[in-house]
Amino acid sequence: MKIRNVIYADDGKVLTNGETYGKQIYLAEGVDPNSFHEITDEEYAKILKEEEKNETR
Amino acid sequence: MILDVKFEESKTTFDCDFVEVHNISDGGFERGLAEGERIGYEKGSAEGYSQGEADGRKTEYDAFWDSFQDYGNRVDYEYAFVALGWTTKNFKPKYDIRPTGSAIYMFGINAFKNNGEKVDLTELLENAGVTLDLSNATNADYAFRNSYIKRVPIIDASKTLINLGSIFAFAYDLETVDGIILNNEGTNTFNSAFTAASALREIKRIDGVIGNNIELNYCTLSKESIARVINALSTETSGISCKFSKYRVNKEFETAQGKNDGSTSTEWLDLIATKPNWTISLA
Repeated sequence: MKIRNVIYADDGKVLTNGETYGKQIYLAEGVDPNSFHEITDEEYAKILKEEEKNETR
Repeated sequence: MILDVKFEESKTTFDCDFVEVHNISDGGFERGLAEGERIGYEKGSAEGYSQGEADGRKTEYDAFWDSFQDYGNRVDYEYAFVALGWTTKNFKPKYDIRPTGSAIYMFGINAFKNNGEKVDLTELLENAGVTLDLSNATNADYAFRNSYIKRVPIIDASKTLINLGSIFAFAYDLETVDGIILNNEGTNTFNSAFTAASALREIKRIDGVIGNNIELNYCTLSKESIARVINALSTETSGISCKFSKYRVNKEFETAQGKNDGSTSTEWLDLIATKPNWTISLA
């Protein structure tokens, strides 16, 4: 079994580095886990809603 | 012996031992003739009507589709099939659908809504004897948005359709994509290609290379489809990410039924380990 660096968001939180979002993130080689921080689920939902709104034509 | 021989048209009495009788039938010949004529007319009329109706339908079919598809020369299919009226009964294109320009919203906004049930577009096109060929399209954003289509044929994005943009975005009923053909350079982009494609379970084939960020977290992909996506990820790029639904990965790769532990399973970890240059996120 091969192992990758994985970072997990706390309950009610989502990890992000500003581009990538996720509750559980398997980092690519060379990616610094400290480049990620947590936001709340609500903040993430807001971001998603904004993205969907931008999709509306 | 007197023999009375009566005719319909006249009455003639013969006084003889025998009678040579002409037109002995009491009008039977005329009735037979009339009946035969009637039957022949009705049969001919029915057959003629039937043939006429078929010919008429064909004429109307040709007239409509020749005009709608410009005798097969139509290249701009923007919003082409955006209408409530399309159903499996009347969607019978005469020519291949081959946009060489824009195909945005081609089947978007309620296409096939009045059909009563979701449409298998692949099957419908096959039945009509035509193909949907996007290989020369330049833009297919929202091509299936809000449509009532559950299955679409292979999408060839290897040539001009570099940016898949929002091709499947908001295609809420889409369950199956027969295949996606990408170029081998990994230059196709996916921006919001799968946003809100929440019923998408199967991408049955992926050719070419995924070389840019791709997000499939809205989709309910099967294990096989998830594996196809990961297998298609480029081995040469860096700083890019692929996103899946955490719920879906936990379910599809679970180690036993109901455990929902797929994201920590050996099978999953071995799979994503093949693409160490990719950040894989579960949302």
